[in-house]
Amino acid sequence: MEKQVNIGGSSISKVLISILEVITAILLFSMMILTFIDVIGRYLFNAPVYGAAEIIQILLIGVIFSAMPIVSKTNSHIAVELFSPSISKKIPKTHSLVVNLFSVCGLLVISGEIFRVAVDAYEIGKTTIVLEWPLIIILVPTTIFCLIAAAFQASWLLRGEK
Amino acid sequence: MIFALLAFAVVILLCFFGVRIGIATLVVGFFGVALQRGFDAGFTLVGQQVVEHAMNYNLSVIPLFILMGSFIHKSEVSADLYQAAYAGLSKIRGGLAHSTVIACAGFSAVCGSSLATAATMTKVSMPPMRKYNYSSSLATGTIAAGGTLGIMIPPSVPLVIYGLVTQQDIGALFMAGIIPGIILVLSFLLVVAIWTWLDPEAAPSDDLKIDVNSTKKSVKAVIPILLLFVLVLGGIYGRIFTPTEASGIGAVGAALIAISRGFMIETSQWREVLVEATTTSAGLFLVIFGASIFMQYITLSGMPFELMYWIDDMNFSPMGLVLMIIFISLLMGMVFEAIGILLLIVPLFLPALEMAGINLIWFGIIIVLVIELALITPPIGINVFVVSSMAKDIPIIKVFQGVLPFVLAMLSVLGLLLIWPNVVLFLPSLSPV
Repeated sequence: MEKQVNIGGSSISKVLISILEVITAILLFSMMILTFIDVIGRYLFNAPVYGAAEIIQILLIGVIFSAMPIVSKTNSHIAVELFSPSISKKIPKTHSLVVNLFSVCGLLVISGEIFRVAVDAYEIGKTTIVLEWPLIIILVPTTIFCLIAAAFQASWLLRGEK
Repeated sequence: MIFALLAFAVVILLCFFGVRIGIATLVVGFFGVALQRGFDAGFTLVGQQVVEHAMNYNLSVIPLFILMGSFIHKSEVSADLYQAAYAGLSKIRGGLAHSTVIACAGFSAVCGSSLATAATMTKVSMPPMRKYNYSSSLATGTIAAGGTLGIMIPPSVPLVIYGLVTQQDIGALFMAGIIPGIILVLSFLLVVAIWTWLDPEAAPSDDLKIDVNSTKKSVKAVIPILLLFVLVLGGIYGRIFTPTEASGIGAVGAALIAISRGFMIETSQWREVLVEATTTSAGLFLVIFGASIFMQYITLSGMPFELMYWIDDMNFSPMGLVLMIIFISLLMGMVFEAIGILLLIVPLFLPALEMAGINLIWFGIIIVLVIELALITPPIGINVFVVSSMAKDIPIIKVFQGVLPFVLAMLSVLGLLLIWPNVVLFLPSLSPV
């Protein structure tokens, strides 16, 4: 069940979320328009956009990870809510600690490992296949987004709420 | 296999406790691989799986179809759908409930979210049904059950995910969903008809005045949505578009529909809809990351193949195997939400299904129907909770009573599809390629 609870938060986090919302919105919008133009170009003018599929792949990872901090901030991940509300009532602090700690650790591991893939790619000079963009310029922002998500999740931990 | 079963048990336990399913599967999967192959292998697997899935071209249909749904949701077409359906069904007893079924089917097909459908249709169709003293069970049951229809009727995100897990053609899966989807709609209409025939008090006559002009307007409003639906599906079916291209066209088309209806004029509306679609997608992707890491561990443990040999030893008939998986999925439907079943149960039995020679397109439709059932059956029955949270004066037990006849209808349709696989496989077999 999704749960949308908004927390007040400091003004810095509000600005950060605002910026991320604009980024993630622009990325998804570009993805929509690019797919559309590519199809129209291909079928009507026999001129598909060069490297469109690859740009869409890059936009996808951007869309997903730039939205991750917003999901963490509102704490709206998909979760099963069968027993957890009653557990949360009985032992609110422990429950929140365990649930958020798991999320923080998970997000930290993901960020760390994406960063490692980025460094490995940089060392062997790995690029995307068609456009030959260095992978590191895609994966470093991804790592940063994921770290911000982990930080927002950790802020729930400090608040002691779920 | 014992460790793999233990891993499943830990995931279920963590989910019950309230840990997010994506995180629970990620952590357990990571530790599983780490214990078997060392921590370095575990860490490497996480990075590799996350990057691979986040940059998978085929998965880009997920945010784009979700975006299409968000635009449709935003453009408030539900009331028009409802009115257009009612214009055709007003003469029948329980016309408002019949119209609810049709409007739910149409709306959830293009919107893609059963929760959004249940929530929207509660707002649109509860007030008239209340006004004409429909029984609260009939009214809420119809909405909660009707909301599930869109998962079967393409374009459907669960079918896309199933197609990626089992490497089946998404176009063929979409086609396969159409006839079962229509049969489900008809069976729901039949439920309403039988219910109101047995208990006329449940739907006292509704002499709702039909205003010809506003009906014409509603029908006109519905036409572009139908056209978009045909364009997206026809494009995929005729191999004119890949599913990703179709989802891009669907999203642009839905945006144009929203604009033509006077929505999506201000940038703030764009921001709201786009952010809603990206956050929903990000939540789904987290489950995809976690589940894929977990399934890597399960595959490494050899469990799917041990299961396959075990099933072979037990001399299960193919139908026996399918029934067993349905039973397990129904049980798991009480613990995981839809995507969890697709990502955890299906890959587990994939080798066994393949060995038994089961048609995976047909099986996909079967498992999606099971997921629809899970959305309205206790203890989670999330659609029931959505409807009851929006119609607060109606006790939840009334809603569960209301969905019960629809559950029976779905089980009958499930039986039908099990006995006659051709109901599912007929349309895909006509595919041009």
